Amino acid sequence: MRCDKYKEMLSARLDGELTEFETWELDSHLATCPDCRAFAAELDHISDLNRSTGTESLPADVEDRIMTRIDNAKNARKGWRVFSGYYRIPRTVVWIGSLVLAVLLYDALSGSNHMNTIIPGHGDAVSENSQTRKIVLTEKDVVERRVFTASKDHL
Amino acid sequence: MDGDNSLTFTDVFNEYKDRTFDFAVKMLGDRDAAGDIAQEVFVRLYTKMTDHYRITDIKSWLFILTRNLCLNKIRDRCHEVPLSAVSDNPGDHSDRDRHRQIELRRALLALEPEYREALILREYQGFSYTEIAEILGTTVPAIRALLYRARCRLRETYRQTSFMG
Repeated sequence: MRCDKYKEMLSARLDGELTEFETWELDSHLATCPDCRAFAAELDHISDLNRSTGTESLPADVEDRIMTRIDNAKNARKGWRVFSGYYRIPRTVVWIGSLVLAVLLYDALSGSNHMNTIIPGHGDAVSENSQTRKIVLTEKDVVERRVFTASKDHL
Repeated sequence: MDGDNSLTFTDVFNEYKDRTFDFAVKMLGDRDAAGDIAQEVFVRLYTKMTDHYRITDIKSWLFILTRNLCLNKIRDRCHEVPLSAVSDNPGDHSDRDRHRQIELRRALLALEPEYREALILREYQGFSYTEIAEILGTTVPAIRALLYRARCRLRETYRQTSFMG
């Protein structure tokens, strides 16, 4: 258990991550501990083997595949210049704009339906013109309408 | 190089293509799978760069993404080590050294992914503790302890599979 601390220090020493004090402390311990010296020799051996292993290079065919995919991505983006490059419209703005447009469209459509459902107070016949023009009800119309509805309910 | 906005995709690609691929090969022990991952990483990088996505540290970003894709791959296929893959790149060494390197790489591939990635980043890629901590999303003291445990585990596994034991 006592040696664990020094073994961890040995590992950190391999990576050049020991402080000056830790180096002194470790060297003092190694002078008196054959077990830790053996551990250090083994770690050094493994680390040397690891570090002498060659590195892998990206194969040419993989590089070609990457470049092909990038060329395809470039071509696909040419048709969408509004959304890319220096003059692009930020996506957030596009989404907000679409949302506002949708709300306005909905409002316009539901507004026209609402106009169609208004029944003018003067008689129940709805002329063709009444569907397209705004109808302003006067106080008299409202009173008459209430009387009309009440009498209907009464029946 | 890090945080330099004037870098082009080609600069980054030429600088890191081999290191990224090497990291994936050592994580997976499979050159084909590592090639697929390198492809995915650089296509995503290209998309981010053309979208003017701000990447403050390209090196860390590349290795974080490569690491995540490797871990996904390992999880997906309950990874088995293809033995052909570990002997592909022996380097310029004697037969005995070459044999030991192959044994060591087998031992490395038999480690748990968290030990393997820490060792690869330190021993093969030469990252500092601070950089490894950033890539693995932890602290420097934790990396120091992790590397110690990883080396102990590698030593045990290597002993079992080599002349050393």
